[in-house]
Amino acid sequence: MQAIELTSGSAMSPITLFIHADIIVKLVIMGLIVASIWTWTTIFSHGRRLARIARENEAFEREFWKTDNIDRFFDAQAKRDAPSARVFASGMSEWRRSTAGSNVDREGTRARLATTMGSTVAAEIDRLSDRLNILATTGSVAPFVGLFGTVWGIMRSFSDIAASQNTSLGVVAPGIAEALFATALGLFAAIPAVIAYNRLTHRINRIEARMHRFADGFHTTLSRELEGVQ
Amino acid sequence: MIDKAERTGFGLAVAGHILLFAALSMGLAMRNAAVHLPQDAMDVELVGPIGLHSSLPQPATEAPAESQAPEQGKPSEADTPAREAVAKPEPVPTPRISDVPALKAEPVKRAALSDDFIKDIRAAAAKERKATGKRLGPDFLKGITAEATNGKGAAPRAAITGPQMAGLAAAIRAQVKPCYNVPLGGAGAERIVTSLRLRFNRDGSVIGTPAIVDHSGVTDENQGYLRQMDDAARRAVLRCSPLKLPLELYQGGWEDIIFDFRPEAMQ
Repeated sequence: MQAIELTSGSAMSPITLFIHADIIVKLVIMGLIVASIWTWTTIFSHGRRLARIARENEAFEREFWKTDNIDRFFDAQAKRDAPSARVFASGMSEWRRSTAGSNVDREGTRARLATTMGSTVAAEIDRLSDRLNILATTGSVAPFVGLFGTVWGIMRSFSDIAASQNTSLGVVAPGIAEALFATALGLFAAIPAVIAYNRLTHRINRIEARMHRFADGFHTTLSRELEGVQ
Repeated sequence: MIDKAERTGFGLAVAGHILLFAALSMGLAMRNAAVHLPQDAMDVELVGPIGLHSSLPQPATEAPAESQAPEQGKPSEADTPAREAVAKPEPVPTPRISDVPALKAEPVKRAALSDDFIKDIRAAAAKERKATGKRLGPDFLKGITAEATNGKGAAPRAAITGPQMAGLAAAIRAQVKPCYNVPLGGAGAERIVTSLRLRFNRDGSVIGTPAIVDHSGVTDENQGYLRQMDDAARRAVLRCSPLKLPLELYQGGWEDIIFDFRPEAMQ
């Protein structure tokens, strides 16, 4: 019955395959579609966000290195959204707190500045790589989920064969096709996820390295500034 | 924490998936499946060289009497002049041929062939005729009649060769097949081979009820289906009676045979 319906017309359309599939295979297929949508959501949102952040960081740092008076720059730019700006703000507020008193502990101030900015960078990177684990999970698990659907579907078609005592390919083929559809979907979800994970991780690493460089440069500047403080 | 970027991304992802699945559903990615012309299934079976065997209690072991056709005299050459006349191209084409311009050139082409050519062919043909011996007359069967035989049977069964028997078996199988209702049975019931003794009238109808003479392929598991399979086999033969079988193989051939009914080959 299935064989006749499937072999005529659009046998390979995803809807047809889905409708004829077993309930387990259906669940697997739906899960994989959800995973795929989720993956692409992450890819789009993270891709755009990382591009925007890299742009903002660059713009902020260019402005920062051009400025003469850091204090005035801080008062003007403290509310900027770029992660570098936040690193700058954290360093600046620590500086002001440390140098507010009459007795300045230079070594302690240096250490505090480094720690504060380092932890701000880490926090920013944490925030950026927040949902990348979704991509990693999808990339590694989706093929197995798809494979599970396939194995289940093939088991089912074999038991159908055993029940109908008819081994002609027309009976076997549709079940196997819909079972393999699950693996296809698993790969469909996993391949972009793996590629995007590697790519986004690489971009985040670059952003992190850049922020570290900025924090180090700013730390050097502050530390030089510290020499002149009484 | 769903911000604007994520909402946009989600929208894009959903739209992309819907588009992709719509495209796949509408068959954009579908290959044009090759048109499968209905093929006549060819049955290939691994059986012995002879699926059918003679039901003669003691098969004749002696060679059948040699087929000696009576002399008909020297091969007649009477038709040679006639052939010559045909073979020789007519210099003047007949009016019928000349109606067709394309055929006009043909006589000219034939005339180009040397006379030796046609002579060679005729010589070869004559030689061949001599080599094959006498031409058979209408009473060529005289040699294989009972009185000339030194075999035991009234008619030598071995006169029907193995390949002919196999062909008969295939013919019977092909004709019985449509009448065979596969009985519902499990446990390898279809492996039961029922040997039916079939006796035919000259017109191909079965005489009486086919007797079951032997079984093979019976195991402990499918023992229970034995009767059912036997009945199905018998019914199939009776329903398809009369069979159309080559009349020249009737005598000593399919007039009384044991037919191994293999349900596996019938499905």
